[in-house]
Amino acid sequence: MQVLKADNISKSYGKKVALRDASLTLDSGEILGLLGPNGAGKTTLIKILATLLNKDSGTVNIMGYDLDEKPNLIRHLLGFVGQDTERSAYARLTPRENLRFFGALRGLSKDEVDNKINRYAEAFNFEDLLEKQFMHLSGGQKQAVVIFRSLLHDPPIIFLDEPTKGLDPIAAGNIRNFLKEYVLKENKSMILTSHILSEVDFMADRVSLINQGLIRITDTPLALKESVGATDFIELVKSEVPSSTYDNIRALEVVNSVKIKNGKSKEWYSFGVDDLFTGTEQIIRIMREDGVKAGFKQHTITLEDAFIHHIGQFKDEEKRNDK
Amino acid sequence: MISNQAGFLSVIWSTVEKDLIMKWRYRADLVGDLVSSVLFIGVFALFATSYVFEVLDASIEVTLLFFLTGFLLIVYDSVVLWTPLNSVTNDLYNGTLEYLYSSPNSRLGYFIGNIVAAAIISSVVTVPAIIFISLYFKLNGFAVIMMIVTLLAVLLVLIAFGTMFALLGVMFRQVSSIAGILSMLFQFMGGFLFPIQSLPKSIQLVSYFLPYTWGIDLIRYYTIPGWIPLLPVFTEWMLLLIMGIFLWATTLYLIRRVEKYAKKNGLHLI
Repeated sequence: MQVLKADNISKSYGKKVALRDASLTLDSGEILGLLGPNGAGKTTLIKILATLLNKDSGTVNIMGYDLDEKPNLIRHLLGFVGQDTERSAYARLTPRENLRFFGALRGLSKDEVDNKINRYAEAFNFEDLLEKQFMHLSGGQKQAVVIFRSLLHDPPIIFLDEPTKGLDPIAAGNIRNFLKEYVLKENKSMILTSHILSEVDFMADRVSLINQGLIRITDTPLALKESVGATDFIELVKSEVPSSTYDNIRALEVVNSVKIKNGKSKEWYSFGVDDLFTGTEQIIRIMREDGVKAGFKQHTITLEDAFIHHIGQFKDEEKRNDK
Repeated sequence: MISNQAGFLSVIWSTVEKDLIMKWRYRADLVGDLVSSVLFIGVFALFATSYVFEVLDASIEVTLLFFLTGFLLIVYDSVVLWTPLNSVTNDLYNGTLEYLYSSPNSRLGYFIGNIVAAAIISSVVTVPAIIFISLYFKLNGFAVIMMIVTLLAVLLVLIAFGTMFALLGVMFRQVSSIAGILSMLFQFMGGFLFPIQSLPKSIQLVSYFLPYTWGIDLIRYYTIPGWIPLLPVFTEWMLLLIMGIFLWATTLYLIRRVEKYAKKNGLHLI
């Protein structure tokens, strides 16, 4: 069941266009990742959906309600976590006091908030920090409080704008594990922006790629990766591979593409292969026959590769259009 | 599926509770407020022995009472003008205003809650001052009650003023300096520290449009024996009421307009 449908959303700040006819949908029980370079329009779109910004044009329907007609009603259905959450609760209050206050703004009694805290305290590792002042918590703990705050009123839809930004891998892992499980168990829906693409790959059922205010592709993470072409690569240091060896490898049937990638200090040939095992075996055989010992590594495509590939394509297209 | 609606009073109550807890954790501030108010009273006592306002033709006691009643309003003026503005500025900076504006609750309740909390906190200063005024100048029960009633009435009117300043803070950065200048002007033109009659005629005209003027004049009428009000007392109450209605109507209108405006332009940090 579709819980959110945004059609042709546009938004400008003066002459700067932030969103151009952006459209997306969100299904019940789904996590949608919203990816794009800095300034692509992700935060603007999330803020429009969260009723924090007004759009210039387009329509948004959330669970049957029009955003323009019923914004206050829609606010009941949404949980929102913005960026810079380290400072987005009262420093001198404890997490419990903060949650009680923000819960009250959502019409929740202290008992209702405390019951929620008791229910999820373990998952958020809250036990020892509920009575500490917010200012004394670690970044991960503060983030957990702010994310928990967005779930207090049990909203069916949650918007998270870079929820694990700046957190250490363990804290970030805990938060994303909880959120994924929460969405699954409670049948919630979520839109998530992040620059940590492995996080989006792990969490999202579908991913929308946004560039210069336009949503260009929406698909599953796997389909996005496959759309690049090869999903497995064998990479060799370019300067250590003679041209004859390169020609022999390029001629192999298993090799379907080749690119030159810039590493930290050297350039690499990146051979896309249909099958990693066969490709590795045949390339190593050619290198042995030619007596070549070159830097070698294998690489399976990630969402980051797909992101770089597609965003690169969009930028090329936009350059061509500009010309 | 639809969560509860946070009521107006519930938002006020939770905001007051939150602010009082935070203030309690900054107890040094409270002590500072108390010390500074004692110093204020001392300074006013010194002024009273040195200044004679010709227009009042008053004794030292009357001049001291004149200053102390002005002091009471200065405290509330600071509370209503600065508290909501500071709250909005801090909450914008902290991102907590995003939560407020993405929640279905009473925005007015939030502003008033912050002011009520500050008014309660300021009672650390005002209550001792009222007790001092009542005992030292041997005011009768009616005078004390009317002083408190008038103070509360002025506070109610000024909350609208303060909320307007806070709304400016939602839209623009660096509003504090403007608020500071206006606050000082209001204190001078409202007759807190000088009798209105001693001000130039043109400034007196402006003063008549300030609720402070009528508030302080009424308080002095009830507390200073022989005080001649600027206008008949009933008229002053009516003016205060009319100004209050006008300011509140404007504030309620602005609360909706400013949120719409801010959300359209993406102003400040929202």
